[in-house]
This record gives sequence, structure tokens and C-alpha cells, in this order.
Amino acid sequence: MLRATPPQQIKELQQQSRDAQMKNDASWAQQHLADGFVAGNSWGDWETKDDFIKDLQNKNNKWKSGNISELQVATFGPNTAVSHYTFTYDAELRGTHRARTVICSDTWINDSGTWKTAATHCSMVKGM
Amino acid sequence: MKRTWMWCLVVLLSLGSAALSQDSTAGSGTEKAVAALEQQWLQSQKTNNPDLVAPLLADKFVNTARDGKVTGKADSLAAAKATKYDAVAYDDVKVTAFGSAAIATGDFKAKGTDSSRKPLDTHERFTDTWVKMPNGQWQCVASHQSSIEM
Repeated sequence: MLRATPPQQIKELQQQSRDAQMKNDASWAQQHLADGFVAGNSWGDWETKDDFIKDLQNKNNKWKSGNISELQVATFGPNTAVSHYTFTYDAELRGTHRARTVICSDTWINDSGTWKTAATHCSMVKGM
Repeated sequence: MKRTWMWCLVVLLSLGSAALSQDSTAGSGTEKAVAALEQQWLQSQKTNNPDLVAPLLADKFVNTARDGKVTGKADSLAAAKATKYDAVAYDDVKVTAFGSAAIATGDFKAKGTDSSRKPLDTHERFTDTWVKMPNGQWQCVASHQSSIEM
């Protein structure tokens, strides 16, 4: 039986990651965010793993839509990968309505056979 | 027999403890090494000398700028050469090690002239992904910046 290559695995996990975010699924994040995870969002805030999970558990945060496109994955040895993608979303986050297109870079690390996100950082795409 | 078993246990526990402390030391060594490379990057900007940062970037390096523009190593270095900084500062730089990778985050403030010769006055946050290469050298494989909304 053929096993998915790391880039394929990361592409699947990347989609799962955003799907979990849409569904406010904190358990997925708990399992797939590395300890020491950091998120830099497109309005310049930092979030730790705990902050990120609390945000997912916050019932006031509501996602209307979210789509990943132009996903590319580069691997560096057997244990590190970086994905780049565009994310278009419409959501109510911490009491602020945000509908925008951002470009993101996520760093994935292979933690004893399980790929986990070590960092994500997004920034606004100019003119979108 | 039991005594022999106990000695084996003591030796195993000592080895385990040594291995853990080695990991911990390696972690702090990684953090120091990457923090020093971030300072070299800052120095390259302070002195407007991109030659200092060139060896720090992996061949597959990708930069994502605060406006969403994505560039590879050659274009990033060309932009660095065309940018003239009057003042640059990094603040709150933190490095977290993940085995053969490390994440550096921080604040970046700069004034000067950008690569298209427009005035530059920016306050950003950055995430840099560093990887230990097969030759033992740490190189940055990705850098991502976003503007801080005021």
C-alpha cells in the first residue's frame, strides 16, 4: 500500500486545519498544534497555542466561509515543511467582522511521526 | 540478581537523564544560534549591507511581505540591495526550537527608502523559519511579515 508523501500529507492536513477552524474544532488544534506554536495574524497580533484554542472555543467567533487556494508545500529534510497558500474568509472574530483575502505561511514539524504546526503567519493581500 | 537488576535500572535512569539534559542544552544552543543569526540580519539592514544576510538564506527561501508579495531568494536580495534604511530596530525577538527547525518571531520597525525609492516608515511583525541544513549550518527557509493595524 502506498503511503502519502510528506507534501501530500501536509496538503491534506492544511485543509483539515482550516476545516477545523471553520467548525471551531478545538480538539483538532489540541492534537495538531505543536507545543510552542505561535500564530501571527493579518492584523498584527500574536497568539499562542492556548490563545488559539480559546479562540476556537469562543462561541462568539463565527465563520461564514473560508477557502484555501494556491497551496504549495516545500519540504526541508524529513522533519520540516513550509506551506504557502491564500485564504479567503468571512468571519466574525472577537466582535469584529473580517472579510478578506490573506496569504499565509505555515511551518510544519514532524513530531515522532505526527506532523504538527509550529507556526502560522498571515498577511493581507494588497488590493484584495 | 535483584541487585544487578537495580544497578541496571540506575544506569538506565542516569543515561535517560543525561539524554534529556543534552536535549535541553541543544535546545538552548539552537535558540542562541538562531538569535545570533537574527542579529546578523538586523546588522545587514542597519549597515545597508545585504551581503551579510545572503549566506543566511536557503536556496529555496521564500519571503512573504506585509503587502502579500511573495519573492524567492534572488528577488529578496535584490530588494534588500535597493532598500536604504536610515533606522532599523527589532524588538521582542523570541526563538523556539523544534528539533532541526526553529521559529523566530519579533517586531520590526524601520525608516528609510524602499526598493521602489518611496519613503519607508513601517512597523511590522515577522515570523522566520530556520532549518538546520545537512552541513550543520542554520538557514532561513521562510520569512513572513504583517503590518500592525493601529
